Amino acid sequence: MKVASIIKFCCTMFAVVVLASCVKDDFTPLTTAPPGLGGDTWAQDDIDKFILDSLTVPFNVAVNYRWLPGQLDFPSDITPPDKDLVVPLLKGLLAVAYNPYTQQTGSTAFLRHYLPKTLELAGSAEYLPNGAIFLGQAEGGTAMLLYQVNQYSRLKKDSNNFKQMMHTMHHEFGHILNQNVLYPVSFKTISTGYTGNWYNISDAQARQMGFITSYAQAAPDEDFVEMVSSMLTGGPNGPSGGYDEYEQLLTQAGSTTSSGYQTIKAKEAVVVDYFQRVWNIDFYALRAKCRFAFVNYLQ
Amino acid sequence: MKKLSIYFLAAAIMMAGCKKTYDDTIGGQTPDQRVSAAMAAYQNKLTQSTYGWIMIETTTGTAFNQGVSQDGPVASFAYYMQFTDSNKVTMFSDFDTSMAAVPKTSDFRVKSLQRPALIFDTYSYLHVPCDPDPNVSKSPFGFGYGWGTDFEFSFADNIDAAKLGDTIHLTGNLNSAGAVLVKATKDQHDAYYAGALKANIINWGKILNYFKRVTGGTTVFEMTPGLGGAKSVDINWLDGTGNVQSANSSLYFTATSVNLVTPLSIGNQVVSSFNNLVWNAGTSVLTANINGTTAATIAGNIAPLKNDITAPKAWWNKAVNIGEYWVSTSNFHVNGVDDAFKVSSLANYAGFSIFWPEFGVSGGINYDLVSPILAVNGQATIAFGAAYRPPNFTAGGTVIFPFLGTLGTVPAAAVATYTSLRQKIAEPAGFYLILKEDKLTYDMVNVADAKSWIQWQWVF
Repeated sequence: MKVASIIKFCCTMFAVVVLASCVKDDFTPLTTAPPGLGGDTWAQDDIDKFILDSLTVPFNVAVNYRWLPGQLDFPSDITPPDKDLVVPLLKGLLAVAYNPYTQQTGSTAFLRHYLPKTLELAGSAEYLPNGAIFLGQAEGGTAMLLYQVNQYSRLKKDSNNFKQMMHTMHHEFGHILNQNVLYPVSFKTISTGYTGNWYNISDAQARQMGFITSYAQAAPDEDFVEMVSSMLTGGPNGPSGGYDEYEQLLTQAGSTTSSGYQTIKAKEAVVVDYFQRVWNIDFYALRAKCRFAFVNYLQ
Repeated sequence: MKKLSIYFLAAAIMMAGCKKTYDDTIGGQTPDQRVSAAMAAYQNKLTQSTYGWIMIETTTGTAFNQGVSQDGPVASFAYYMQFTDSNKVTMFSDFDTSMAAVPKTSDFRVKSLQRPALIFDTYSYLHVPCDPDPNVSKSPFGFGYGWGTDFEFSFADNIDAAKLGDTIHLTGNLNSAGAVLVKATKDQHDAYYAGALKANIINWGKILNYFKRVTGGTTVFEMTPGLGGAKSVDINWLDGTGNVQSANSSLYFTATSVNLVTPLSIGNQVVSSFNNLVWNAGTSVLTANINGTTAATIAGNIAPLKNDITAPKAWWNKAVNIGEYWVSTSNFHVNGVDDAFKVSSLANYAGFSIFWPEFGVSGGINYDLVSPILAVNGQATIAFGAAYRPPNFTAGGTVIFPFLGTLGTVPAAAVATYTSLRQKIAEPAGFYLILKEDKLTYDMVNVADAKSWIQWQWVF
């Protein structure tokens, strides 16, 4: 044998040996799924059934009402919702926030497509070190966080809380819509003076400055969706001291010739135009349906 | 040939190196199977206690929110819990009398986080003290913080779930609060459902005096409210030489007893609980058994066991020396009612009142000022207040504030509150000043009946 062929033979043997020696035939077959794979499991009850029938099947939305800190802001002092309030809240949400859209667009298809696929519920608000609190958040179009479920009540005398929650819902859904199709860039130039210190300004002061709420002053994105939610559900700290309808909020902006009033009106025009052109939704008709739903829902 | 042997050697090493002889299971089970079995074992442990569990949770004195911590008083809370297979838990709580008498059902689950964890995953009584809304939690830690309790716990015993006994230790995942679950007996179960927990809380609150004198056998000691509110207690007793010794502990209530988290030793007597509380309305005395055995009486007293006669002057001078003031966030507690004069309901109340010694001069008199602070245009403001002549420090160690006049204009809506406050401080018998365990806070207790007091905090 020539040296070269011996080397060739050896290399072949080597390859065979290497491959053969690494074959493993003693794997233990996986009969138990890794714990937690596919999400947490628990004994299903009436709440889980309601969520499946009323939200997951028609709207393709999952609702996380049990404590999942990773889906909220971790590590914060937030509490989970009271389970006795979960179904009433979701019913309120369906009646007052979802149904008007369904009626206006003619089917559940619009919401089914654009609603964020998970709804995270928390019992308390999230308190920030600067003294502000989070009432809701939209996470990149995929999740909507709704806080303060434990404050839920459909009684007229507590309607401020409910209106605030629905304001939050419309606010967050507004974010989802403009994360899909951005509002006209010209909107950003209607107002100047956006500031991170919005919480030092009262709602009434903000209205005089051309912002529908003080939070609208945080950034143009927030301004836009605060306009949407205030027009649909009213806004906080109006002339009555609580939640008031959009027209009443406008009276705090000043006279119809004041710059505050006219700035807000200019924003209103952009919102209405955006909904018509992008989503083919008559915003004023949608607003009428939202108000009607509200009046009927409160007890 | 030498080259050849090197190749064979290399091949042999490769073969040996790749030989798999290990088993990826332990006892024939994969890690996933073992984790699932352990979770089931933990859950079984909880659900298979016929008469449920008593949980006692004690905080570390620190509460976290968004990575920022706040320090405050240590607190303990006790619960009765019954777990079911369907992930439901029913509980009573000693947080207040309503939660002590009406059971509430919520959810729980056992989950493998970094450690095996017990999560109370929908709102229950357990969540109330960690609610970030101070209106719910009644927490003194401030906006955004509860008492530093937890509702997501890790099993902390470091032993197999199957080997856990009748006591299970837990550690909170957010605030590291410690909790211990103790298997309940039938008697305890029955007592909870018969409303005994509520009765204990009510009985314990029957004595309205600041000073409560406990006499058990030859042991006498005094209990006063601790810094952690109704759930904490300061304890004073006299040692052999007549000097005051002090300790403090948080309290929790069960259906059968009132318990000190930190047991107290006085001479030979150890005090860890008061059992069999019975209120005698005729004599206004509470009878109890210390640790379930030693018969004892608890009675209100209008004077401290031994008054620190230097305290009033030390309290007053501390503020005068640096030209500052004392702050009260809780205002006057009178006859068992917190904030009895409803100072916190004043329009634009900024959250605290002040006592400012030598605030100003009027008619040649250097006067002290008591004022609820209001927020005016976002600024903490003294809008009105009651002015007092320089205080009269008595030889007995009390202080009397002679009323001088009203500073500013009292709005009509605030007149009732203001008048009550002004008159209370001007009580002719004056006040004791009691230094608390943090050595910074004083309780000012009225001498007349020791049923009115206000807490002054040092913020400088």
